[in-house]
Amino acid sequence: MRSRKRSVFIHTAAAALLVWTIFPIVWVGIVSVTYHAEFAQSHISLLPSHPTLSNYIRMLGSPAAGLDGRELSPIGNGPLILDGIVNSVIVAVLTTVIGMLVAVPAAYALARVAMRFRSSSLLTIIATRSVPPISTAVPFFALYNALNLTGTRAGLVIVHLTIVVPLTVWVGYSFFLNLPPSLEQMARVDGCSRWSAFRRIVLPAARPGLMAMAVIAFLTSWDEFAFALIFTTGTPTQTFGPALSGMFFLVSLPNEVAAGLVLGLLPPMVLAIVFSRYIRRVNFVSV
Amino acid sequence: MTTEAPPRALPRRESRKVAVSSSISPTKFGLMLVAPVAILLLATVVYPVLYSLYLSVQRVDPLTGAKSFAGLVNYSRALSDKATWWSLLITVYYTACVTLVSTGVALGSALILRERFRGRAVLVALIALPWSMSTYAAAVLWRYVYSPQYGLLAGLAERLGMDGVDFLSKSTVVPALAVVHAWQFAPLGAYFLLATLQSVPEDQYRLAKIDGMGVWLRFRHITMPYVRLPLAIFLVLVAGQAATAFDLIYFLTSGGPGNASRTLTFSVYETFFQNQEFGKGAAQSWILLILIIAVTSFYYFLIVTPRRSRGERKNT
Amino acid sequence: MITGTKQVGVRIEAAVKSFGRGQRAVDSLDLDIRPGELLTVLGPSGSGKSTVLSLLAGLAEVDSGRIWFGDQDVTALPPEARKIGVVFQSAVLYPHLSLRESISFAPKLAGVPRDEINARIAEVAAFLQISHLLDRRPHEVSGGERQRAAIAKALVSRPTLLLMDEPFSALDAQLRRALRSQVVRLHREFGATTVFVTHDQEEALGMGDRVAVMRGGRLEQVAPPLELYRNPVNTWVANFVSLQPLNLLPVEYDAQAGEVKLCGETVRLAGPDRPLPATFTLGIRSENLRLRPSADGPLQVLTAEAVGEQVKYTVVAPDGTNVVALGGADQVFEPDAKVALAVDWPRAMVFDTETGARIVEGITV
Repeated sequence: MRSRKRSVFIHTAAAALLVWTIFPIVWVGIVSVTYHAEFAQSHISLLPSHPTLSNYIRMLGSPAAGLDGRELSPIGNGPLILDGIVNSVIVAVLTTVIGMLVAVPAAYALARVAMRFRSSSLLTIIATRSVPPISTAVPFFALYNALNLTGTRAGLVIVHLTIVVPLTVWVGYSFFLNLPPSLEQMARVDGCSRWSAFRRIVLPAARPGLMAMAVIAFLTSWDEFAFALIFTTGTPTQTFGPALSGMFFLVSLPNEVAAGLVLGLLPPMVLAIVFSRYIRRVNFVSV
Repeated sequence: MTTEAPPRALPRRESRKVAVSSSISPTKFGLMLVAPVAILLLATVVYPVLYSLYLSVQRVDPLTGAKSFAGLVNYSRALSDKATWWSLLITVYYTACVTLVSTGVALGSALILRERFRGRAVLVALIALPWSMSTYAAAVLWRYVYSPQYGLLAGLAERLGMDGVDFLSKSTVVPALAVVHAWQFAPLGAYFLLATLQSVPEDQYRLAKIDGMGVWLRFRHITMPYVRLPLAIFLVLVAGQAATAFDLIYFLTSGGPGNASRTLTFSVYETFFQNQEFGKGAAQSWILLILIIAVTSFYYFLIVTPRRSRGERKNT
Repeated sequence: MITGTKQVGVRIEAAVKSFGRGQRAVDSLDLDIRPGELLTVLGPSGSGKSTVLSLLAGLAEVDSGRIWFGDQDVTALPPEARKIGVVFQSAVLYPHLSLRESISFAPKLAGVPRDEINARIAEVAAFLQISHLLDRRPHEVSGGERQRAAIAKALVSRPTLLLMDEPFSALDAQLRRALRSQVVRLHREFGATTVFVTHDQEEALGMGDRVAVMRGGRLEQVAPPLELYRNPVNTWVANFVSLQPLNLLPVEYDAQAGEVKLCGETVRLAGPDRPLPATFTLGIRSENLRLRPSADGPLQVLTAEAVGEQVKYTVVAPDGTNVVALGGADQVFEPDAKVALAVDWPRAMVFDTETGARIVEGITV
């Protein structure tokens, strides 16, 4: 009897957790496949009677038929949203590539080279993560205005590196730490120099960790908003966040914004799902 | 097989000098690998922080951009400004709300996910969704939950024949924002606590049941001691996150209504980029930085340090 | 023996190695390793035994002192130039490579022709019974198989010196015993001079042609296993290499009467080879100590534990000293029984009470 009550309680709680987690997401999905005409009735319709992809089609730049059969023109902000997604991908890829080139050797050295200044270097690098971005925004703003970097991809990549590099160093550090303890010694006995042991043995052996570092670098860059807003708003290099912001704060129809939002959620989500087996091995507390 | 002379029969002679290709000192090798990061962070973190310190003691002409030394004027202006204190208050309030809700949700989720039920694995994977999306996306998402015009909650209320509530009104805006923040951030804590809970030996609970402990006593005397340290670390992370939250507030309220959700971070943003008061903004950002360092080290020294050193002593 | 294996003697001269804050991991160590022998290095953790191995491998450099392989001074030579094979504790194989690729990595790098490498791998793998596993990754094979592959990897470069650093310490007891005999056979087959580091007495004494016992960075004793067991240089070594409990009993010696007083009994000696001090410590292993029934004591049985076919007795002497003795199943003593000691005197060891150093080898009654 008691265990039955307990089981009912647990299932109820689990259901509540499920609802809490996915309802906001599901709701936006629903809104994005609802015609504005249906949505804007006096009642808020929770389930559309005529689900449609027209918001997406119009976001991608084609006209589509409305609820009453009349043709609706493409969404005005569509090109900005699509450009934003492309720009976000470019910035995130550049940040990932450069960030990895810088962070991987450092993470390796901090985890496995018996060097002096090891723990102090590690602590310093991690400590930089606690500096709130808003504190560095103005100096960057002043510097970028002087160097004409405002509105450039290079400028945004540089500020993203300041966030991504300490994070990936920390993630990579814990990965390298978990490789077999005598790996490099073995490689040296086999005839590798320190450098070739790193290149020929450690890097290939750490491949899953490197993948995780790269995915996290990409996602972190994609997710960054404040710098993107300050440095790219209204420029040709505007990324997805500011583009969404621009559309959101204009008088836009909720259904259209929802379609834009869902489109922007797709790239990081696909990436996170495809590479989930690598991400799962990250010690998330460090992130 | 050849047998070389045993070493004891050796004449002592000078060793042949051998070029040792691979033996650069580990410190040199290590510093070489760390150097790029050091240079990058020096340029992109240390320089801006120092520059903002410099700005905070300058008077900047908003029209010409000309600067002159102003001493602590910016700080005194910032500190005598009621708006700064209001923002500070809101920041503390917001941080407290986020910490409370996040901890509750994280602990609750972890306790549920520790149990066995059908679909558990799927749920464990699903709760990562909010955490894996951008904060600004989460903010827009929740706009669709809270909005009195087209929000999910308003829609549900309507179905149930109740009046819609504007959750983002003056009196409820901070807790409402905190709920969104917790929605996004709590899964991280849930995973963290779940890992810890799963390491609690089941026998401890069995023994406690034999001893006649009820649910609450078991939670208090077995679960809590285990999760205290991970919980403390999570609290530090959450507090730091909450105190510097920007994306959420920007999208959901832009500091409003009025100034009801105008946190220090948001105030710094406005002072800089809307009012172009660079000196005062820099001073405010330093107040924020000091606040964060204070809160983080408070947590750290109060909870993390003594626990950790105690644990180490036990190991040796 | 495999043709072409060169046997080399190794000599460590006055080696000093410190780490960090001046702690000496190895302190003025002199050690000769004979060509072709299997030397086990035995010591508790922190005794510096693994450091000795690192110094021999060239993975650490001595602060002072020299290391010779045959007549070649290798002190400043990097590991790859030393012609060594190393088996590490954690069975290091490259996690991203198949066993075959891991094993062939070093000879490939050294430019050994492919056919030659394949022939060597086939030979070594057959000997170690891992031929069927060569195309798997390390995480796809068991711990024992991984360790055997690591040994194969060390052997395939035809090292003149094979170094093994507690290779079996992560494995369970049964597997360890199997691998132990495999390594001994392998040493006989391949003939390379081998240094095997371990903290396990049974392993060290069972495998080694000679055993080097280390403590606190210093060498305590080097000797063949039996000699080490029978004639340890001091109480510490005697205790450390004991497989059964070692009794260290205070003894009074009356030189005039030629009698010793041991646990309330007086025993007449036929005479030691050298003069004995008035008091000394008698070291006697429990397997060399029997009990005999005695109506008036002077000792009393405290506990009796079965150890296989034997019984391990703890008895208490009148002065309160606990003594451990082994007894056969033929004569069983109940707890509280009054007993006397029957010492196997030629196996007894006489130590100086102050310094712990051994004074004479055995006593005749």
